[in-house]
Amino acid sequence: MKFSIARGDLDKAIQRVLAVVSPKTTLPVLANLLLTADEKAKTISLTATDLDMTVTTATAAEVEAGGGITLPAKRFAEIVRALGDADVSVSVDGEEISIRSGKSNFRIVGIPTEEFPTLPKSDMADAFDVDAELLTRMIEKVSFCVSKDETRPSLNGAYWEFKADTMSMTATDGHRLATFSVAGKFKKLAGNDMIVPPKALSHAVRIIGAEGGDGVKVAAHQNHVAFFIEGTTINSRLLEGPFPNYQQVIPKDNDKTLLVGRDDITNAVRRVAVLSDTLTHQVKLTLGKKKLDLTVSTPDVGEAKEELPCKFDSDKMEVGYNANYLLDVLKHLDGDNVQFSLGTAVGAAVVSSAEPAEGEEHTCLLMPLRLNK
Amino acid sequence: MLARGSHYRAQPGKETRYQRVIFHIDMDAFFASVEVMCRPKLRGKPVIVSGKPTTRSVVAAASYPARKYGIRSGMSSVEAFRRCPHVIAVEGKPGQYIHTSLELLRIYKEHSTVVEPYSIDEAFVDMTGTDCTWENCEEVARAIKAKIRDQFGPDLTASVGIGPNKLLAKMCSGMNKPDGITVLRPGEFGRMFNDKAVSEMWGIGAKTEVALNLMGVSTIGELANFPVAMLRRRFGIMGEVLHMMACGQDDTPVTPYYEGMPIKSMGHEHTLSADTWDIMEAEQVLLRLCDQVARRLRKKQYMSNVISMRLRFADFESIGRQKKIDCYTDEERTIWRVSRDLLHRYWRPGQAIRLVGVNCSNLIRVQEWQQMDLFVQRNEDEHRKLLGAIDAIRDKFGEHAITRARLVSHDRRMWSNNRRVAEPRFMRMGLGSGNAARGGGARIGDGGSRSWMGGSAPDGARTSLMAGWNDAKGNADDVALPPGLSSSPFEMLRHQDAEDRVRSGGDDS
Repeated sequence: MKFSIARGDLDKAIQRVLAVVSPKTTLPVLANLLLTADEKAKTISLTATDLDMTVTTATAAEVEAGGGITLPAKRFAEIVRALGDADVSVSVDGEEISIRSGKSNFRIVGIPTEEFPTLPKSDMADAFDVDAELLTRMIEKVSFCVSKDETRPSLNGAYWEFKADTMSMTATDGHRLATFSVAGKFKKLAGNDMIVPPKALSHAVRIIGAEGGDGVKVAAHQNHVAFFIEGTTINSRLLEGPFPNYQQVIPKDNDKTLLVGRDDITNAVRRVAVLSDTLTHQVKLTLGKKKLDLTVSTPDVGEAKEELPCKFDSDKMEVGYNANYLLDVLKHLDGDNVQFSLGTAVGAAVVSSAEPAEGEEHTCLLMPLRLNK
Repeated sequence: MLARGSHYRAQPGKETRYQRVIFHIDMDAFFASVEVMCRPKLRGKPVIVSGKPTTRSVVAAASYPARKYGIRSGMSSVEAFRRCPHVIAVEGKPGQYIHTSLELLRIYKEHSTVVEPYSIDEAFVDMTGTDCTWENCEEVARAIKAKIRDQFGPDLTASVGIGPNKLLAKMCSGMNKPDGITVLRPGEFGRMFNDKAVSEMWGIGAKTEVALNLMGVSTIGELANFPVAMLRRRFGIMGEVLHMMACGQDDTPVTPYYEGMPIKSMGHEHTLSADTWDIMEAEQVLLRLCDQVARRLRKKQYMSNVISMRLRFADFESIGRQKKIDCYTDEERTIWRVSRDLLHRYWRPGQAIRLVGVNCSNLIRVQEWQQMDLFVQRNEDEHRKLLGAIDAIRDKFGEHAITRARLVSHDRRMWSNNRRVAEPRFMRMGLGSGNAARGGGARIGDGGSRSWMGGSAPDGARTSLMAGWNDAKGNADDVALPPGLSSSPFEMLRHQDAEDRVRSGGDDS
């Protein structure tokens, strides 16, 4: 294998896959990148995997001889980053890789490609198109709710669901839930529901951000999903379901509505939460017709109180929330005002933007803290 | 009374400014003495305390008359009967021993606030700074023994060792057993112990003894005069400790750890009466342990978010695995869910289980505010009420007054035929009639003393405990539940899977 390439192009390609290489691996070859060169297509491709997720990226290069090798990811990345502006030429002799650029010369030892794990195959022909911007938006609006608790594995990912006229993504950790759905024609995709690990989603967002591009192709398989973004393919294992019937926990009979400025409440919560308990992060909301009181009272620490204007259509009510969860929800909503739809002090609050975008529905659920008697 | 000893730590090798006075109080043949105390007709007879006679039990304690036949604790009961066919075997009553032990600690604490329970029948008492001095220490020891006699009668005797540190106090208490007092004043150590074998030293076991003998050291005096550098080369840092010990020096403080020390973890272990290959039997034990641990957490007002499960196999190989969960808990259903998962994940079919244990750590005090969960909210209130009622029954009638139906019988078939039952199922036992529980202010349904299994469950209880839950595919909540599981949708399905895997003999590696 022998090729030469502009240093910048090689560096970009490496950066697209490097995040997948985990610092601690059980298999030594997982710390390596698979580098292959195609003489006919005049491209090189780089692949990294942690067995759960695989990222492959291709880029044009002057390929003199095709072939493949795996080489230590971190070292290779450091070398390429440190090189000068001259083109980089890479050649492989057995398991030894030599990297030349200008007057710099490196020789590093690789591992034969046979030892690199066999990766799931995804065909772009089976894939459907998703608007890149929409996908990014959808992921960003829900993935903050993905659970990290390994005891409920089906909640460790975002549930991507297709119905005839809507596509939605939902994530929850049991304490809060976010669901984002868009209207459209998705009849052909119905039944492609999947639980995608957050790592794959955030990597997709990163690649979309770096590559630009309008369309993302997604191929859903029984156990894995592939995202094709320009020259990069992200292949990830799906999580086993079933995802809980989240529709059932979204309260339908919440009859009280609170309307408040998003920035006002965000800043106030951030301020009073300084004194909240480090375990529960409790903040108490006292809702009046025109006035919302935020209070924090932590034994041995102190008290904080802040008042802000609001519109509330019911009698006085008190409810407690984890300030961090509340801030997370507020941060991910759009618009100047937010609407809390409330039932009882121990039931879930439905939080949404007071000015929702057309054709979209972004709803967050927030479970309160209950005062132990 | 002044207590200063616990904060005091002598500098090794330096002249100590304060001379400590440490008591080591060791009860004589404790379990056996307690049994004799409870049944005076056993007085003067060879008595051993052991497990159930039919099981592979060992002697936990032997009375002094029994010791004359060569019976020692740790010996198998069969061997004890061989040595003395007319020995009287009594089944141990841990509750009684714990009660007596706590009462004894109360007596010691009348003399000093710095009391360290060392085991169920031994304690260190730091008398430094109290009105007990080297001049009157024997009198104080006699006073303590008199109080024990006044409260428990002549059958329960103690041997007291008094020394300038814990090591010497401990070594002294064993010198005049039973019912003795041994005082070792500062500077007397060499005279009393130099000629004794190194194995008589507290903390020197068989292996260390052999190693020392190979170096030509057989007595404590020889060890004290042996070059420290050589000891260090052979034993590492322990070499220096050995030297200090042989010189009668020990600076470990008496730590009253039962007081004011934050509890770090709570756990229970159980050695099965016979090794088992049956995962269901291990599960049953685990469930009981989870129940006990959760009860303790609630009683002490703690919550935990790190749950560990321990197994020991027939070959004495042990494994311990733990899992951190998202929220803090004091409920057995959560502890059970996590520990059961760990059991299934790390037990391999064919491995015979000897011991099962569960432990909760990373404890916090019960919080004023508690985060509610989207997926368990519906039956949360009912479940907390149920736990409160169970705790109230146990507070009033004892720990065994109420238990889970699953723990009553070992018959698994009963469960495979009655799997349409949601957890938590509890069964009241031994109360005679349902009125007893109601009289205690604790009432769970109208079940009387019936068990809540299958169709016999009182309707009120069933409807409140089986909150309606569907999974994502919209299945109704009539999914058959494996015994003892929570009815939240994830758990239901996940455990269903696990159950099926176990049935098919598979594993989820």
